[in-house]
Amino acid sequence: MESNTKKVTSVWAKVLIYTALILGAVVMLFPFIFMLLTSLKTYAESISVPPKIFPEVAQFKNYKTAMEMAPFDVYFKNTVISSVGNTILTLFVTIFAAFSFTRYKFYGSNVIFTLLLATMMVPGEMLIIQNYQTVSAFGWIDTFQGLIIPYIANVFYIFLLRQYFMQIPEQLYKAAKIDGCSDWKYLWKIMIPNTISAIVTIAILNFIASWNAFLWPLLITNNDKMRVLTIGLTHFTNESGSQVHLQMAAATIIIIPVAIIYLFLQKYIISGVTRGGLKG
Amino acid sequence: MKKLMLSLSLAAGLTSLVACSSKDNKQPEKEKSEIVTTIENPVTIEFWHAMAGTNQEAVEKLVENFNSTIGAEKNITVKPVYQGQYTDLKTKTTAALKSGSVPAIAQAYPDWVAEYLQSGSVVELDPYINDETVGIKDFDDIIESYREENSQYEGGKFYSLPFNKSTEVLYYNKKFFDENGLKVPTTWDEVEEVSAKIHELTGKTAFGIDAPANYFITMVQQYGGEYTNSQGDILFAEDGAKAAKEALELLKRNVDAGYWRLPGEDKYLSGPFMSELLYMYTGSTAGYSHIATADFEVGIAPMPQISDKTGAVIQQGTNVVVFDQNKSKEEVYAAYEFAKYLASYEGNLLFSTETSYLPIRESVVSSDAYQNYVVESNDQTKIVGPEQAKYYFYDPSFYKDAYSSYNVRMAAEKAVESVVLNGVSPEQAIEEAVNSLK
Repeated sequence: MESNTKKVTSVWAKVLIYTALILGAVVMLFPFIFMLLTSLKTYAESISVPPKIFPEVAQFKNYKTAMEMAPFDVYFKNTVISSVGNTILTLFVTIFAAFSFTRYKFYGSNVIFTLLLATMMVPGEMLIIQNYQTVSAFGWIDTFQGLIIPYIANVFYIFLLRQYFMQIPEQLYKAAKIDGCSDWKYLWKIMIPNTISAIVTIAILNFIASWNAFLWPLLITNNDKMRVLTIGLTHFTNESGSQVHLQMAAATIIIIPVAIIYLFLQKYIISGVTRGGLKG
Repeated sequence: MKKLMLSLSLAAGLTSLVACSSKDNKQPEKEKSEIVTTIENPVTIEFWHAMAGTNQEAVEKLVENFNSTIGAEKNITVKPVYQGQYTDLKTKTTAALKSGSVPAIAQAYPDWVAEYLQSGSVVELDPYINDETVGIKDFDDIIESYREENSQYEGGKFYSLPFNKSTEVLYYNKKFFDENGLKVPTTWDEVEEVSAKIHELTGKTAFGIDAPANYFITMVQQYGGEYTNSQGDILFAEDGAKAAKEALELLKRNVDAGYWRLPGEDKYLSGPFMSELLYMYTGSTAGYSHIATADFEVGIAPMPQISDKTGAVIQQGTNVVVFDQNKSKEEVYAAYEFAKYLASYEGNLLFSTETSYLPIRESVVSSDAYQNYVVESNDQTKIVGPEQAKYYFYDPSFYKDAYSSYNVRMAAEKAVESVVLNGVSPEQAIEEAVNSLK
């Protein structure tokens, strides 16, 4: 009897949990589904009030029209190069910086780290003109260096990884040292494998941010051959309205790669965010 | 070594602080020098613009035409560069001005020009326009108010030439008006009357205002007041702010009755209009393409007026401005030649028949080519817009330490919105607007 009640309660609990999860999923997915549906509407349908959820006839030609508005193939190539390049370099900088702030106690290391943290208080928009002046003085306008280099040092990532590194017990380091392990080897054999989920998280967050960057790529490129996908999306808007249906078609194509990467790597992101410390 | 690193990073931090706080206080100081009107060695100049889609195609056509005719003859090649939407173009031009990489010529609103003038890099165009050989001989053909707009700066000098221009008109649902025997309003009294009738018939909002700031600026003029002057005095608040109050009261009365509305989350009224949730609205002629595909016939009428004596319709759109920062005299002259082409009969005819923008020359409006185009495209904004030219006015642009014309415009918009959305009284809204500019 008692076990029956327990079963019933657990069934109800499951129903509740799944209802909540499904509702949550619908809320989260709705913007994406709406984007997909809007990309198949006519212009009139896309701006109708109240909004129409489904197009009367699916307008697949929107995709073709949208892709013809700007050289999206070139933009795609540039976006991949700058996002991948930026992510790899960011990981290098982040890992080495976090390692030195964790392992090496050099004079002023805390001051420098505090200064770095303080820069997080400065909004990125404020620095954009200064960065532009610097980069254009280097002659990096319309180059991949200009697109990639200014954003390879991210204090937040360094801070995040440093916290992870600090959770690896000092004893491990000492034990490795006694076994004759160099710092370099220690970093690659012990530190990184133990914090891989955090590193993957950083890589994904950075990749997404880099993929979605707009203002900086616009500022430092003039040549269509060096521009990126997000700039292509502005081609659908003027001062008196947007061609929403075409914009959504282009947006759908643009987010597909990021969505795929996210799908494959999501287990790392989740574990990277939720996992507290070191096992054992 | 460690100490050196620390002091280096501190120094870096300090310089960036200084860089943040230092303001560009360079005053425009131009050495009077002879202009160059011939080019020996070929030059290439960039033209930064914010024209996307069909407008961009038109810009590219203009550039091709220029490069293959005047350009080829005078050793000039223009390279058009799309720099995103207007705000992006502005950000980018500002950044480029600071780092010395500004193009020879760019699209700019008058208030941007007022701001760019602070850098001392904007070229005064009078010596070119008035030059015997390369000047603009039929300059008077350019609609007067556009000439005034482009020479509203200190000393009445031309710092820009007109390019893509639009104005406001009244859009209405012609099918609905015909079916119900309604008369298209020409005065604001009639707008109120028709709005009440439509509301009675349908229970819906009848009329909308697409650009709240334009409503305020225009109606202050129509009620016989003044908005600002080019020195930046807030004229609409003077003498008890009579005109401004009347403008806001007219709006408040009709919004409260459920007859009128402003755009909200929908941002533009084209959506509600096409969905027949609204039967007329005032909006930019540049937006016609967005409603041209409606299921019903769209009617286009002149902007309603209070009276003929105070007739006022705002003129909008950008001009082109020439920069001489790090430029040779030849490049500056090349930029002027391109600006001149854009404002020429040929250039303007091409642009105003390929885009939704309006002619800037009387001769283009009256030309057969233009009139034929209007018949073919069936775009009445192209007729109704220029017909209002006698009422055209611009809101003066200025850039002061305390505030700029852009800030005043934003304050005006906020005043309109707080009257409509928050039920603030017109007096209080005006007072708040003025206070926000102190």
